[in-house]
Amino acid sequence: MDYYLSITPMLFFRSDKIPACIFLTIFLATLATAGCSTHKNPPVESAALRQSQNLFAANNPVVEKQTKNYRVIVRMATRAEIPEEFYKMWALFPAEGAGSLALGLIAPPMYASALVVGGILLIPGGTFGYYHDKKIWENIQKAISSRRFTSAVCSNIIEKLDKKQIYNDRLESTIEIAVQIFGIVEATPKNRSCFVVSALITQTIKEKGVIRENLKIIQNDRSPDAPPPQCTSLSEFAADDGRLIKDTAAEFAKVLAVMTVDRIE
Amino acid sequence: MKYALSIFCFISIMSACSYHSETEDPVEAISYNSNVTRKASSVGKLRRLAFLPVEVIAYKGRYQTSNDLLSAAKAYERQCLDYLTHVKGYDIVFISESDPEWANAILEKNGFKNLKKLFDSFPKSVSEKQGSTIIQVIGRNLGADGVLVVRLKEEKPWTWHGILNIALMNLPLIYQLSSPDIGAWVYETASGRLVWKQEEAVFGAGDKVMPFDVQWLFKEMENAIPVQMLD
Repeated sequence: MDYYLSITPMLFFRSDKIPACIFLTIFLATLATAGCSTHKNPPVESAALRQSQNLFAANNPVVEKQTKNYRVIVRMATRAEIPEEFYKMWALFPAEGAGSLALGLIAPPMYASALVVGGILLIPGGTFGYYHDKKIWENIQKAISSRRFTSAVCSNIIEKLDKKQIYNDRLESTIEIAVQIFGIVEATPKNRSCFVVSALITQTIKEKGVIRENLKIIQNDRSPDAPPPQCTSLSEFAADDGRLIKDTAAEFAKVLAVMTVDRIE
Repeated sequence: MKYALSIFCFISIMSACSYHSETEDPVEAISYNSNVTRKASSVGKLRRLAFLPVEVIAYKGRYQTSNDLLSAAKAYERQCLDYLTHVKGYDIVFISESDPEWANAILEKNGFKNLKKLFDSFPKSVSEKQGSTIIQVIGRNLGADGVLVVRLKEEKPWTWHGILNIALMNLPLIYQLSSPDIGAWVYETASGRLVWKQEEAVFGAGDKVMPFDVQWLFKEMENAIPVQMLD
């Protein structure tokens, strides 16, 4: 915004263009301010993001299975972590480019070329950036929302329990896995994102009590036996239709199952 | 037209700073036998890596003694080790910590007097038969799925080079950007092939306080297959 306000006085060298200049300046200042406020205000969840969250919730209902003396329940205790629609920040660029072009047409020759060239670069650059990042975001949200994580964790736990040697006199127990974090979150350093998972396991054993533990595959705060979270750029996560997200989710389902079975009695 | 040409030149120079490649062919591990869910060509399948000593090429006067150079190389090794084990989940085994006699015997048998001679063949000629063989021998003897090679060239800080750079219209800078100072290469034990590489020209290295942060070489590397995935 400061840039546009600073170039405003020079436009007044041509008095015949004053009304147009005022109009354009107000228009651009409004646009720039709108751009600033988008970043400052808390993000408003869009319909597309909400739809992805709902699809993920539908794909991940509570799953309950029984094997030997164990009843296994896996549920999502939260919504999936899907990055905000970061591509929308590009939407302002073509408008700013158009404004810059328009200003260039009425500006004194000395300043006109910079404004016109700037405008010419901003319009296709912004449009390309918008569609490029939109594709990245779409791949990520599709890959995350289509995961069936609860059923994968449950199946893996049942498979591990079936292989585990269990004595017949073992008391009946219920194992509940509440997935508290699942998805891609921002990480350090900047421009990095991590695929993280965290879950609370609770084993309730008849007449014996309750065992509770948090299993975390999180950057800087993971369980001692947990692998590091998958951290890379969003474009890497989105590549090959979100192949890395799909692979990582499948791996973490198995890892969570192994960690759970290692802890239960 | 002039603007387009300028933009093209700028992008070309900037893209010359970094060289990354990954194999498209299937990657095979030798330390475990498991059906993992990763894509066939994922370097993360090579979860156990043999790490050759980091090679540091220093300019004259950078280090007082050869011990100082060795300490610097060890510091770089620790950086890589920390990052690869704690952030990427790899299992690293050092060839230098294995039986030195064994290491020397293997090298001599394959036509390398010592590790220095072996490094001289990296990374350019390693795809040749002899290079592949030594990679496979080292990897198999250490039970590693792959062999990791890291090397750095420490540039002298710019003094009068800066003025020369202006006089020569940025040609020295372009030269520096197009010649990588730092690189990491991962070779597959099963085949001896180069499967992953990252080379970087350290922009503005002249003003940087050494040592370099070498960890970011591996920032785009996929995590290793978690140990829980191995049956």
